[in-house]
Amino acid sequence: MDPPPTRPEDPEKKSHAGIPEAEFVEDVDAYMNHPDHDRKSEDVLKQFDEMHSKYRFMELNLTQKKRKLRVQLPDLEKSLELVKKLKEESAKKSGNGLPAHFLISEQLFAKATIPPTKTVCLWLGANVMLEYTLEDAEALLTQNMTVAKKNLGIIQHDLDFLKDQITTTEVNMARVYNWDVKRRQAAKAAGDAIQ
Amino acid sequence: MRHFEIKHISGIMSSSVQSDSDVHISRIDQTKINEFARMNARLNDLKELIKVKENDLRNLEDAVDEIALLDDADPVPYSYGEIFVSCSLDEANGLLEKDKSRLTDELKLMKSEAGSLLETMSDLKTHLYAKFGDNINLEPDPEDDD
Repeated sequence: MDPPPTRPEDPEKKSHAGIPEAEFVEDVDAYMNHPDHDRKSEDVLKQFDEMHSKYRFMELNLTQKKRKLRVQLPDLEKSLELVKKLKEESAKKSGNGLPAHFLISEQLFAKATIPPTKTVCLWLGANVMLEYTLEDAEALLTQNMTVAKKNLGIIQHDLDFLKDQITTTEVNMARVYNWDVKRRQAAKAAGDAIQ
Repeated sequence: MRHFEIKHISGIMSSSVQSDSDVHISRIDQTKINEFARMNARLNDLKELIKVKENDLRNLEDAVDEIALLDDADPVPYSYGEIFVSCSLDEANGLLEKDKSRLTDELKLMKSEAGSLLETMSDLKTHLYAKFGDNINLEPDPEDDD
């Protein structure tokens, strides 16, 4: 199950990554007549389009991060399960070890017995592997899982925020475009009337 | 007259707004449109997750069926990530049942979330259609629908 989206701790900030908020255009006519825009709908549309592309790019980035975390979580869970299994096994007095089949390469497994053990090696990434006691390994994996879940919540919040900005920008673009169509029509009608 | 149409590239839904600026879009409307788009994205996300989990559950159920046919004495290689650990039949059965009930619970949660999303979305839809009529399109693209 996905963790719920996590809000930023600072209430002033609406997104964790500091994503800028899209401006909502309340009154298109007033907006276009503003000296900054000078009734140039092409320029305004271009600006919106640029923002839109930027938002889309951020969305893509975050979606990739989210996907990576969703793959990572089950992996962590499996490792944690195995560490727990090893702990159980070594706690047994009569433990002869744990018979298992190991993946040697794709499609090829070999039989081996894991003797009762107190330590396990964790792959930390970047070509580093460290030996931990079973207890420490369990604690580390649990902590990693908590962090991964928290990050997933943060990413989800930012994605939700981004989605809002994208939708707002899209609506703005449609309205400015239609404003322009109307203006042109009105100008054409006025021209026809004179003739 | 050509109207500008916007498609949600990422979502299945195309929420094209062909607003005929006669209908004024207030900030509240914008918030509602945003909410709808966000919920739709979440719904599609959920649908995908549900599909994966349902598949996992089916696999587990198949495993339970298969295990019933096995001889009591034989140890069962049970998959833990990349390796298989030999378990007794009882152990394997217990593990399968545990996984199954966890998946069933997760699925139940996801489905209820999807259900409440759909409910809120249909409320929003009613409101937005009432206000914007044909100028807004909140329906899923038929070619993307499965």
